[in-house]
Amino acid sequence: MTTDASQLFHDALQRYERPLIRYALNHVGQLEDARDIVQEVFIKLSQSLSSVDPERLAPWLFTVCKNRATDHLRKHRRITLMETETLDLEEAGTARPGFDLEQQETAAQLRSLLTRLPEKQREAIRMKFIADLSYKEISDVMKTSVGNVGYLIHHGINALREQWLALEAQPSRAA
Amino acid sequence: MKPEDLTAWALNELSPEDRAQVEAHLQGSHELQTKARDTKAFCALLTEQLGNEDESLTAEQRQALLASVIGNVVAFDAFRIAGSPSVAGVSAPGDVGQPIKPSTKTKLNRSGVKDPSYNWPLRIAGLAACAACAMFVIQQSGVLSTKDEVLFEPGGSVTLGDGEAGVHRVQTKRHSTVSQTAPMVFDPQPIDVASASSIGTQGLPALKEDAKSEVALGQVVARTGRVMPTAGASGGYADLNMPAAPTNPMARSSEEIPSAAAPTSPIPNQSLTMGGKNTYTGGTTLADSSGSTRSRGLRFGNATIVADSVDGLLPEPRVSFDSPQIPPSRASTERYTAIHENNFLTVSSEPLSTFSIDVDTASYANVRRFLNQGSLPPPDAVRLEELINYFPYHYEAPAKGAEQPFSVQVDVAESPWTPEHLIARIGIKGKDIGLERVPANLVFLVDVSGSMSDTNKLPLVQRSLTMLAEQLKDDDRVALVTYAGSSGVALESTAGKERAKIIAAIEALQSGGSTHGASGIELAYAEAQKHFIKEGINRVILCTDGDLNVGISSPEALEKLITKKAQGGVFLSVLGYGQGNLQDRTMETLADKGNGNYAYIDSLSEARKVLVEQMHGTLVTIAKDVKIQVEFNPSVVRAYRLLGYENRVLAAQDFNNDRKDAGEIGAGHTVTALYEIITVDAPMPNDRPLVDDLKYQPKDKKELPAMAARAPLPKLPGINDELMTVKLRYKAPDGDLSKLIEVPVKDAKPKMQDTPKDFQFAAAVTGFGLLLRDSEHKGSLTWEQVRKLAIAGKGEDPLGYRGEFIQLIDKANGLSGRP
Repeated sequence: MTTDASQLFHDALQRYERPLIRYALNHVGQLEDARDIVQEVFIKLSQSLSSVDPERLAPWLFTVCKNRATDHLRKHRRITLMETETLDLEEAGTARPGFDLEQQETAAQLRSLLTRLPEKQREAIRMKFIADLSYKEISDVMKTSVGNVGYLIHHGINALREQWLALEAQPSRAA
Repeated sequence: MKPEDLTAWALNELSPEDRAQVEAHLQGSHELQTKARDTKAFCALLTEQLGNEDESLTAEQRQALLASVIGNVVAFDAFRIAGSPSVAGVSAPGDVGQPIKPSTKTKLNRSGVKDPSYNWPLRIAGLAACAACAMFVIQQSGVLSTKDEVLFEPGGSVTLGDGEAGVHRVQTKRHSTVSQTAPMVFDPQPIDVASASSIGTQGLPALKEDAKSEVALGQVVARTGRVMPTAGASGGYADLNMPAAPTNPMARSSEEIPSAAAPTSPIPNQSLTMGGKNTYTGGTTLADSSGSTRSRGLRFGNATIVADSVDGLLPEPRVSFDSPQIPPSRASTERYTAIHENNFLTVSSEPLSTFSIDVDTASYANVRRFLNQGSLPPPDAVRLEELINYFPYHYEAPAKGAEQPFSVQVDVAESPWTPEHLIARIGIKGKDIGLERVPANLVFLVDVSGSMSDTNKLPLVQRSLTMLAEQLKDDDRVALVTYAGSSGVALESTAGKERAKIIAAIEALQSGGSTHGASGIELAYAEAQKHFIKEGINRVILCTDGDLNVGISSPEALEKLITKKAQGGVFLSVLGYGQGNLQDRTMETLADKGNGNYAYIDSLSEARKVLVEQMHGTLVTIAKDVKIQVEFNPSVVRAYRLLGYENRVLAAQDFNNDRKDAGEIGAGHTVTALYEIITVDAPMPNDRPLVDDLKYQPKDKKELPAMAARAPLPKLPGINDELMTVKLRYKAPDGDLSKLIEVPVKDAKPKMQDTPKDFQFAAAVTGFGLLLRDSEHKGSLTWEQVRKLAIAGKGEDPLGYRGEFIQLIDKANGLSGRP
């Protein structure tokens, strides 16, 4: 293992650990699963350091992550896990009651709206806002043109925004 | 302009040229400007909302990954970071007396790491070593590995279940409640036996050489080890020549019998402590610790142990004190580390019980909060020793001018929950310093993150600090540093006589605000350093609800910093506030690393207890690295069990090892530890021996001269009626050399009601804990019995702590639905 390669790995971990976890989390919904998936991604990276193009690191990582997440969903679709967190008393809620709830509410709303977008738009938006990738990187992951990414994101955002505003406008949500 | 260009512009995705073009368009159109603004705002919302989950890998996962990639060197670093005891031993080659844990992995580390260039005998490839290292880190970290996925292979790679070589994968889910800190930390790990043993065998020549080269005497011990008959519950000791035997029944029994004391071979220690027997003088003896021969000898123990691990079948390593909390898994979802209660250990195999003292009290306050809120605490939130030590006891203080900074007192009585058993209480009282306290240089590091705004958090911090400020002496100094919200120095170090100024600054603290990059903790230490009082108390007091975002994000780096600063004389105490505190264990760890204490402040009265009534105990350390080792007399005691202190258990040889960190004792503090004892004339639990007689070991111990120490009845007058000897080691707060106190204890069996009230009360608190934990050792105990004991033991209770406890018993009784 050369120093360069290990440096690359370090940098990748530094830069993409959190985006990847958020991205995986958005796919699989469970933090622990997302962590496992991302760990696998980095394991894979550690084995592929010699063959990965540092310039195309992000697309590589997100592609692997997406594949792993898809595998994971396929594998676990019919298995319901007992969640360890539920065993913890007063797990959430008390730390920052108002703030957190509000936050989660908006975030949860947006996430659920996100799932209703057409797949390509959804994917592009996830990579843009959840994983913080650039159009160029997204186009690499999605194997499409930068222009098309711009198109997908533009339409995705507009759709999301409309739906979200409609949701906000509902009187029942005012409380 | 295409409509999507506006979005791209809002997201800053355009090239400079395109950007200029879009902006030119914007200039000309109000409508476009509005649209651009809206798009930008919505994009910001999306970024904030969708990207706001700051989730990362667990520290263990990251370490494992790093270790996997960079090979031995990085693995080695990861070790040092993990701060595990064996690592400590490893990182300082030639270090005398560092314990080496008996596990295959440890062995691999040790050889692999001690000399990275070491030429592995049968080419166990670096990767394997590295993966083994990684695994070790993980295990030390307490995340249970996915057992069946890891196979050692002689070829030198580690195979994962899913076929990905090179790294041990840390599973976060489903195992997340596994203990990090209890003495029996890990389930027996089913290392693939065949391959483990083949590694063992391959490693053998190297080991032998290792043992030999370390010290010639090592061989003596090794030889002794070989002829020793009963390896007992510890699962055996070194037999360099014994081939690994996958079906070795000893090994199996060792896996089944959890044991609280030294995981290492008892034999070397046994023979070593023989020398100590002539200190049975019947009184309290004070001896210098240097005991160089002893600690040297212990090292042979290590050599033995290393060899021991050859067969790869030993019991799992226990986390010993240096790493009591090792590594608290920092998974944010985990609140309490599982406690695996100490089990009964047979004296024949584990004559020594060693642990570090602990003056933390947080668990009691936390349990109280649960009960007062109408729910039973989770069992793992109930740490027996912290319940017991919550209460001050009236032990006799050391005489004025006495050399020892504390007194030691031991009592024995019948067990209230299992009448055939005995309970021994070890009580330690630190000397009171009265008004002679040296000046204090205190820096309060206060979490002012938004979450602290609840009334039982920041406002309570402010009121507690105000109370403390009122106690200050004129030549004390106080500074206030905040973090998380707006980090900065809220009050520069100010003399205690300027009370009004200090209190005004405390009252001006506010939660919330923007986050600054500066490191709160470094500011705090800098402030403490700036006004360091050479002969005084220098302490940073961290007040938080568990948000440890003090400016250093890596827990390892934080622990390292705290350890370093503590060595430099600035200690750290942690005051935990509020609910939903996810970092119980981490906070305790930090306080331990900082030579300080961790208290949980759930109310103003608790704040008063910690910061006013017991201020000296909280602030003034009178002895550090206080360790207790009890040697039981096998002619009187058959088995024993340490109640609580699960995360404080030390290896026997750690006792004499002055490098081994242990607990501190503050002025006026009392520390109490209880043992449950089964005497030779009492039946074992379930009427069955803990371990069956060993089939392959010589039956008659007397035939073996080496066994003399263990054989019953050494014919020395006055010793056979002794139950045990309690030994303590401690260092002066600024000292590096430990001192030894020995207290022999006579065998006696008074009824509990004939013992000091404090003893009865401590027994009641212990019983309370056993019932709350629903311990398998609770015997016939009932809440009613606990209540009666507590009332009998209540005695004087000027501050009302004990009265409150009796109320808690009733609450717990009501909630548990048990009689």
